[in-house]
Amino acid sequence: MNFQLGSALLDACVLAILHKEDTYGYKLTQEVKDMMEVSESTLYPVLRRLTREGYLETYDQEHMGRNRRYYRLSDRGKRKYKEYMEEWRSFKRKIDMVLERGDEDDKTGIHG
Amino acid sequence: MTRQEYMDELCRCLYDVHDQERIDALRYCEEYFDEAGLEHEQQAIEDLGKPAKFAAQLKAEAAIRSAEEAHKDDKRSFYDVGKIFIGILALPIALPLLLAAAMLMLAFYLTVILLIIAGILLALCGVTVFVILFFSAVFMPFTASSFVRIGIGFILLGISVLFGMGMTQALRFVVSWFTAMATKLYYKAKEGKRNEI
Repeated sequence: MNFQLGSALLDACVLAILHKEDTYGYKLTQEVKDMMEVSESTLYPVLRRLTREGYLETYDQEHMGRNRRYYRLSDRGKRKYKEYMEEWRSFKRKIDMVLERGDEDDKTGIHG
Repeated sequence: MTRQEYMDELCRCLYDVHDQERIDALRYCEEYFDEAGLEHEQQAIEDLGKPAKFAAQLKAEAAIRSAEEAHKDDKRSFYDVGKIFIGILALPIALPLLLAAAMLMLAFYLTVILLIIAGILLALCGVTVFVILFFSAVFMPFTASSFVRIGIGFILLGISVLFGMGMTQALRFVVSWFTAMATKLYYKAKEGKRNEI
């Protein structure tokens, strides 16, 4: 991917995935990896930080004889997710405006 | 590299990380390997990144966090006390007891603060007297009493500086103590309010 992924965007993606359903580290990574290239060494500190800041909660659940640590959104995390969504929408609108305007100019042949 | 080697190296890289943090990180990686299964072990190692990098990212995150926390503590001062007090006042009057407690606390706090400020002013007076004594001794005709004045002046200066320093420390202590108390009270009040609804 050409576009740089900032830490806020990564935070937002993690919150979005967890807003859909609780999940555990491995699955979360696979889902994030579907969207963008990210290594676990980046993702784990993010989870850690989000947990520390009270956006995520963890709980353990047994699965086939071993423990899985699940992550879920706290109420605070849900609010944060909504916040990110709003910010993202307005950001996207602005960027779309700039990027698509370039395309229009191309079609109509307005140059210089 | 095998899973065992990876975990061993990661453990080595995390030697200077806080215990709980290290345990959690190792646990997370173990779980990751478990989930990936034997057939994807190499893929998991690739996902996790080099142990040194994993450790470095974790430490960087921790460093940023502790820097932010230190920064927060710096700002915790009169400004926060004001904000917290306004917050307490903003709560519904369904909490008269709390309000009374807050008032009492504030009154107590102000009394202590004013006492300490009085102490600091006293110390400043001591320093002023030293200056007067010293210059009167130096600029007036020199007699035996000049030495006495200078001596008394220095004794006063020493006591004043010590006393003033103590008072300043006390002021800082009281302010941070009060902030902590008020914060606790404020959150308790907020919680109570939430439970009511």
